[in-house]
Amino acid sequence: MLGKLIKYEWKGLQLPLMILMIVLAGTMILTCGVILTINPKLDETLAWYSVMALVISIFLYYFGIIGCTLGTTLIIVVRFYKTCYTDQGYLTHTLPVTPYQLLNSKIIAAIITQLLMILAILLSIIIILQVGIHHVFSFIPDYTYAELRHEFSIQFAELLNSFEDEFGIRLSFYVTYLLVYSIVAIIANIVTLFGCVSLGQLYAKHRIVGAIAAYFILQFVMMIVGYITAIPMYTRMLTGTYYENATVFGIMSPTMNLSLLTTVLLAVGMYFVNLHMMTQKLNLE
Amino acid sequence: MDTNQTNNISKDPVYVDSNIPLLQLNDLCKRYPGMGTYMSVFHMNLIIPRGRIIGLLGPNGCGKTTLIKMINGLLAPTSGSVLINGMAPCPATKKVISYLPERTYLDNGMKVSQMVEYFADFYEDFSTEKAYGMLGALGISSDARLKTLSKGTKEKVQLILVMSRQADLYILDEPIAGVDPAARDYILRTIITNYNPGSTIILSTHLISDIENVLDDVIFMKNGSLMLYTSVDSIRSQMGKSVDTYFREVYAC
Repeated sequence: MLGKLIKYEWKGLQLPLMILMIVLAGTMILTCGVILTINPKLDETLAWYSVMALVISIFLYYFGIIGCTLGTTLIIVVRFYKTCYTDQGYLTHTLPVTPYQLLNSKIIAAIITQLLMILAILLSIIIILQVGIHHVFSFIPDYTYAELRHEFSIQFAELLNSFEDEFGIRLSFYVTYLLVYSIVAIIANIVTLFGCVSLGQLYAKHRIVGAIAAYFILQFVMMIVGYITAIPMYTRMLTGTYYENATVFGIMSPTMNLSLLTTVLLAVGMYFVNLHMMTQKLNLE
Repeated sequence: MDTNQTNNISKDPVYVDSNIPLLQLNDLCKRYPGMGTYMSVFHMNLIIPRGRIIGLLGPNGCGKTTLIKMINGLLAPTSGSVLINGMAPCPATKKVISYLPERTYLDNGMKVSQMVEYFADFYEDFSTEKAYGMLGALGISSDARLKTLSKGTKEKVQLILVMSRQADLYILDEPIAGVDPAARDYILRTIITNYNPGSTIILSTHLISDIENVLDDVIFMKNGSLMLYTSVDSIRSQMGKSVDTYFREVYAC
């Protein structure tokens, strides 16, 4: 049944996600278009225009990806609310499935949607960089793309060497750590948002306002927790100057680990809040 | 009632002890938060057997919908218990209950055919042929998106989906409220000709005169309590009144 639930969740999220991806593609094309108008060889007025075009393209793309990221979160939350707590909830909650299956299907479909949007954004960044680099090189005939790649590989090798000295860990380990952290944060964010929508159902009326209030209260609490988890880092930063062998990761790792732990605890807590609300406190209008 | 319907649906045998009632309510209570001490359902005890068409009757706000929601697992009881085939509401009980709420619960973005597929995917006892047969008889296009259909047509689609199942218990909450008399006749005909004869239908309504002739038993509710549970025949023979007349006397303001 979980597979079937995921299938229908995905079907419901597919169309709005596709629309957002079209918006992202449009922003990317527009940004590339603006980048291609940049011509540093032109006279002073037009060179100023090139700088402006560069700034505009960066802003345009920045707001484009912010919009698409928020839009993806919004479609996930709206679908969860609609299918669980509006009239559609009468069908959702009378399906012959367990509350675990129901919640898991929504979380899995939401994670897939979020990851697809992230991949699309990464792809668009790569395309824009490629377009930008090729465009810049069109003005420097003596400098080839191969040379740049060669130089980049030298710089990257240097970074690899210096990274371990500076940070105290290998770059690959650090990237893996950040990747795991990001995935956990994405899952926690989805479960927390779902939990807040569910908590909004505690109100007899104004349930959406209740959900938004629950979200801000929770964010405030997590901000305070964040400050507390940062204490070890600040302590080490202050005392670290006295130790010659203090590394960046050595200073940051306790806070990063604590932050990861609180994120996991938040996700687990909100998962059970969701289950409790869906079973014991369900009260469809 | 017409019990000559064809049953060509392969259905897994349900091993239920015949001594176990289809539906049993044990001292069931429901109090909503913020309602003080008022109980929307107050210490209800009831045993519903198989093979009956039962009218769940009472004025607005008497607790009919709250009771129905608890049977379907949409509300947790404050105290007491609901047992369907001896089990508290769970996926196994949801498999054997076909529920028509008073709200339109269909996804407006989906096509009628997609909703049929959805029901066929989740309910083993759902008959796709039966659903398409009824949709065809009403001239409802399976390619139509639900958002393009009128409220009445959507309600008909919903009823068709619910009645295309071979469930043990059909719970229909206000299926004829807000529809024109011709549609009411169609809905009642659909219910009577499509339900599984071995199963029970609980029909909640306050439009008694329209459904009186199809009922075997009636449950009267008042202020969240069970007032009366008897057969339609006994009301007619012992009191010499129709259910509608008796209802009007009982609930006279």
